[in-house]
Order: sequence, then C-alpha cells, then structure tokens
Amino acid sequence: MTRLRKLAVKISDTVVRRCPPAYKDWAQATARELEFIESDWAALRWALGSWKMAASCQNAPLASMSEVPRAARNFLRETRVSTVLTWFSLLGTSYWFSFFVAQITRQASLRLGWWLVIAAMAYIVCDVIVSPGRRFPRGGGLPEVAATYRSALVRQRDLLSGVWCWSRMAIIMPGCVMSAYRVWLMKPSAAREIMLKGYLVACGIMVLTLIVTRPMNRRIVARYQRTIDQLDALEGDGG
Amino acid sequence: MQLRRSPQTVLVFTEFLRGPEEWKYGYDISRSTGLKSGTLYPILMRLADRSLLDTAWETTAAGRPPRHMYKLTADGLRYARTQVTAEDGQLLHAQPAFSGGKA
Repeated sequence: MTRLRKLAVKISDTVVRRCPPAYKDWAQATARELEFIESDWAALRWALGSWKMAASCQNAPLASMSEVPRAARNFLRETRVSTVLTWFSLLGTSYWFSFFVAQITRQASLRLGWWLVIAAMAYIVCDVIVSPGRRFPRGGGLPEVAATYRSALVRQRDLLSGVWCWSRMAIIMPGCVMSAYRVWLMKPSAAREIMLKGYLVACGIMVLTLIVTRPMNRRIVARYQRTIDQLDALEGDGG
Repeated sequence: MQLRRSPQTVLVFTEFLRGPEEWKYGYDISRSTGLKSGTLYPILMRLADRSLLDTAWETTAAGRPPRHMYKLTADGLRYARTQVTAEDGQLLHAQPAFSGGKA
C-alpha cells in the first residue's frame, strides 16, 4: 500500500470514528468505496471529500434532544480552541507592537497613538477573558447541557455580529488615526515615507479582511441562530 | 418531500434514471456525474432522509468488505422525473463524462 493510499485510509478511518452516530453508516459507506478506487490520488481526493461530508454532518440540524450533548461538546471544544488562538495572536501582536513602539520613535503623540492601539488590543483580550467560553457540564443533566450550549451559541453569535463585534473593532481606530495623523504631519523624510506606506498596507489588509470575513461571519451567525432556534423548538416540544 | 433543485441534484437524479431498477454504488455515481464525494454524499443523505432513496449494504463473498448501494424509491422515481426536465433528459442518452464510456 502506497503512502498516499495509507493517508486516504487513515483519513477515512478518522471520519468514521468522529462522525455522529446517526451518520456512521454514511461515513462507513464512503470508507468502503476506497477499495474500489484504483488511483491513489483519486482515493485521497475521495477521502478528503468524505471529510467534508463529515463536517457537514457536524452542522446537521438537531433532530432530537438526545443529539444535544454531542453537538454541545463539539461546539464548546471548537470555541475553546478558537478563543485560545485569538488570545495568543492578540497578545503576540501587542508584544511585538509595544517592542516596535519602544524602539522606533521618541515623539510623544506618535507613541501615545500606538500605545492606544496596544491598550485596545489588551482590552479585547481582557474582554474575552472576562466572559470566557463555557465548559461542558460533566455529570449535568440534559437541561443543564442544553442551557450551556445555548449560552455558548449566543456568546459566539454576539462575538461575530452586533454591537459587541463592532465596538471591539472601533476601539482600535482612535490610536490608529492619531498615530497616522502624527506621521502625516512629520517633516518629509525616508522614515516618514516608510511609515506612511506601512499604514497604507495595514489599511489595505484591514479592508480586505473585512471584505472576506464579513460574509463569512454572516453565514456563521445565521448558522448559530438556526441552531438556537432548533434548540428552543426542541426544548419547547420537550425533546 | 421538498428538495432544492440544484444542478448537482439533477445530475444525481439523471444518473439514477439511467437505470431506475439497478442498485448503484457511490463511487460509480461519482464517476458518472463528476461529483466529488463531499458533494455527492450530502445529496444522497438528503434524498434518503426524505425517503426518496433506498440504501442497502451489499452482501459480498467472505473477505471482501460490503458496499453501500443506492436505488430510488417509487416516490423518488416520481420526484426525479418531475425534477429532470427534457433538457436534462438529453443527458440520459449521452455518454457518461467520467466513466470512460462505461455506465
């Protein structure tokens, strides 16, 4: 068996293992087909496709209350990972930025602007720490698990949309604008040109990020809202 | 019974209408329609959820793993015929694109 084929089999086995019980048969169905695919590359593509199928199963609508614990566990795990990654990326950026500020300029207003940006990033980190993601209630009953799941979904929905989302972006702006304005007022020099170009690149990256993430966030928020509605309906029906 | 009429779903229906009485395998459908497994299987799952598709595990000789097979139900056949228009139907008589001339 070639390495590619082994990889394909490994992916398929993982998909079968991690697929929700309701979709196990389908995961096994894709895994069994591997044996009938002659090309190793085609087998790998097939296995990757089954991974995509498994991902769509994870987001499948909740059919009954018995599916809530599995869905809650997966969601809370994903949320915790993404929160930790956000903390590290923001803390890393803040550290790098503060080091940069301390080294590069002695102009008070420019330093103030950059420190404001750092303070804003630190505030976002604190904000996320103050309202941490919930943990899966071990030993808790179904109502407790459902309540935890619901509050986690609401938190993530609000994190990606509405006032909370926009306020986090807005608090970075004063420091950026202030420092950019101060650079603009500087006497023409090579350092000024470099810094202005840096601001232009940063602005471009921010606009691009907004363009890419906005529709993505909308879809994610809509999905969270759908799950909240399903959860409400199931709780209303009594499971 | 309502199902979104996407080009991919029509391709799957068209493939099933080629041999409505035959059981088909996932990989063969994928080759005939050109759909990847990540697209094909969610469609098959939705059809099965709506009782439009019958699924079964093939009984095979010892040593060989069983394969999952698919066939449209009577409701599925009726529904497929309403979804596949005359224009799509021309595909029924065309050579399959990804099967090297074999169905």
